[in-house]
Amino acid sequence: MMEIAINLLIILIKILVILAIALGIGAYLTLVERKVAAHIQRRPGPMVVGWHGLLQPIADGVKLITKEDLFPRYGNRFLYNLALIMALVPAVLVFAVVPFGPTIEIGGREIKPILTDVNVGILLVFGLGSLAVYAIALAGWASNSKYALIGSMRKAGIIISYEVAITFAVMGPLMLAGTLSTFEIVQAQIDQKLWYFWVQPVAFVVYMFSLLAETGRIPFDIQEAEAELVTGFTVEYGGIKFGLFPLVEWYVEVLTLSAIAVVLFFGGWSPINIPFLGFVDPLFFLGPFAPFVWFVLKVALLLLFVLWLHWTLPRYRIDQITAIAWKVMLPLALLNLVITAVIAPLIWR
Amino acid sequence: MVKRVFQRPLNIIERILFIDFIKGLTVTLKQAFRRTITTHYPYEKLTPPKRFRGFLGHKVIDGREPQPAFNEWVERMKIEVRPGSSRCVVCLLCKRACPVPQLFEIEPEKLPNGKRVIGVFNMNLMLCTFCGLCVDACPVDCLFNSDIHETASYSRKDAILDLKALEEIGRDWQRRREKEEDKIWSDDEQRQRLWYENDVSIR
Amino acid sequence: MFKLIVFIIFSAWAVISSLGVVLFSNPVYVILWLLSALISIAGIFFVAGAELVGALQLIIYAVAIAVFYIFVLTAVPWEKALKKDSHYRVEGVIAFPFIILLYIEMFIVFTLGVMASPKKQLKLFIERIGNAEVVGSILFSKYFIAFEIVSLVLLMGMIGAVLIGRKESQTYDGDTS
Repeated sequence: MMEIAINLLIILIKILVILAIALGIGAYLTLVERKVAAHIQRRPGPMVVGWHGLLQPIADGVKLITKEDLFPRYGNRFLYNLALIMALVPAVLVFAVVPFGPTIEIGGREIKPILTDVNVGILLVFGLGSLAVYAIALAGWASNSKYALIGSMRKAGIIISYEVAITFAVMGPLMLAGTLSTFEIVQAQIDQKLWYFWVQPVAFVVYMFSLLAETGRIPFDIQEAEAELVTGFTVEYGGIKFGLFPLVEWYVEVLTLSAIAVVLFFGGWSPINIPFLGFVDPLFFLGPFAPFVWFVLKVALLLLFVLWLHWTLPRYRIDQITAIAWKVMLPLALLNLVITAVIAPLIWR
Repeated sequence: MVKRVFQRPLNIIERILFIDFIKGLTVTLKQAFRRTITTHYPYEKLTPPKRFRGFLGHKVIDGREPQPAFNEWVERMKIEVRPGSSRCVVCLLCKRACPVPQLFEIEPEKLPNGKRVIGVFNMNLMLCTFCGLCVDACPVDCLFNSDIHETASYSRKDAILDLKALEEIGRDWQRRREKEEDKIWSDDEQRQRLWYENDVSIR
Repeated sequence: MFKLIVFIIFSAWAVISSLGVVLFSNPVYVILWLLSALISIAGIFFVAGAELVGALQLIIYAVAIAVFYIFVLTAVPWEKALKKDSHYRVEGVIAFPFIILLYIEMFIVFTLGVMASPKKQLKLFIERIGNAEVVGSILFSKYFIAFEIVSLVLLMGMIGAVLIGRKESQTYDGDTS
């Protein structure tokens, strides 16, 4: 009985930590994005609320919550609200299979810093991740507005195209690791002394393109192209309902997909890798915390890279985006798969 | 004639290695670590150049009126000269020059000694586009554009400038900027002087 | 015990969702009920320990296929979506004998299958090597020929779709690339 209670408590703590990460850090990423964008444009960004604008996300949240809740006439209220839930839930659920570090021991008890180590974790990530397309399609349809509908159709088209490319792109690392569980993929990279980025750069490029497309980041933010569609499928949402869509789409999803990219290509919590030789750890003085710091550091760097791209590149046209997906990225991913199948025995040994 | 500029197509190495992406990214990275060039507006304010067309004002009589135009107009319009108050000679040229018919409301005041003086001079700035035609029309260098540009107000009533407000803006201007050299664009040094010395409050 | 409760919850959810698919008239609601049914069936697979099949159910049916329905249906005009001419009563009644026939077939196949394999053999097999490996090894040993034929058919279908969808005359390709 005691054992069950302790296990339940551990799971509860894990869930709380993951929720805090997903929503709290997601909210604070708005500040990070505004600061990065501002400095690239040689502005200081938010400076007024708190020291260098540190309390700005809280102020934004309070403002959005206290705003009036508007609803479009002849819209479908049930689907309108359901879309919000369907956007938020799968995006946060994906965090259940992200491993944050190696197995640790607290009080003689082995704890894996991952909510559920299902042995098909990667498939779950993409299954749940692409459930977001329903939220977008429903939001566009229930709003009863042509801008929202056009935006949601564009986004659905992009997601359908890039879902195929991303699935084939991750097949390469999966083949090298020989497992579908996220925890064991990282373990395999540590055992083989190889970040899969060194042998799978093509897969990584395809993955990054798909990441940008699925999260609606520039250069693929055609679904909310401000100049033509106002803000796409979120036009008719107001207040905190409007705030949640970008929070989910731009921050939580980018966070999860970056974490998955780190797991697949950069060896999760392992330190800097020299291919086939071993690992160099400049952070050894942190002791047992070093793996967690490495993981957070890698995810943060990848995320900053995405923001950096966002504020550098122009926007593609919708036909160019889908053409890239089907004519360039998918053949590249398939080719990569074939080459990986040839070189895989060398890496398994 | 249209000049056509053809872009060189990317070669295969540039396509594979994303050379143009990398070029763009280096530019943004360089900019990201340079100093910011903005002004922290509600706390720091830049001084506009002297020819800036902000709120309008009336210069007051202080001995620096354009002569002999001022004396001629005073004689013609039978104006009583009161040092320290508006230079206006009630000629209504500003009202004629203005493209908006209802913007100016000008009434002279008749004194018992037969002379006149400006009595009512209201400007409805909600209609004003700050084009400066009235300033060009003014023969005695009375009406002018000041550098006050924070024109927001809480009620529509506040957007109407009466004679008192106009004179106050004029006195403030004459104290601060009258002696400044008239240039098309001010130097950086002068421009970056913060706008603290402005103490006029119209509201 | 715990497994049984979860299984009952998921199956009740699946049954209710399927009823919703049949009974609702607004096509978008119908798609949502279908999605709900597919997710609950994925949940049943997860409870039964077939994680790979559950995840594939989620990816292929819940996302890839149902998304196409919703993709088409969101383009349907609002007034048409609310018309109730999608209920065919006669066909519904005729369908019942077929349903009973299918159930009988499923029962026969299931009992035959259970009789054919010794007890717990399959379960032990699953426990010995993980779930994805089981599917892979069965596909590439016992059902190898069938697997290859199916993939060949799929490949032909893909090429055929590309050929049909190909544009003969390129009208605007030259000037907007």
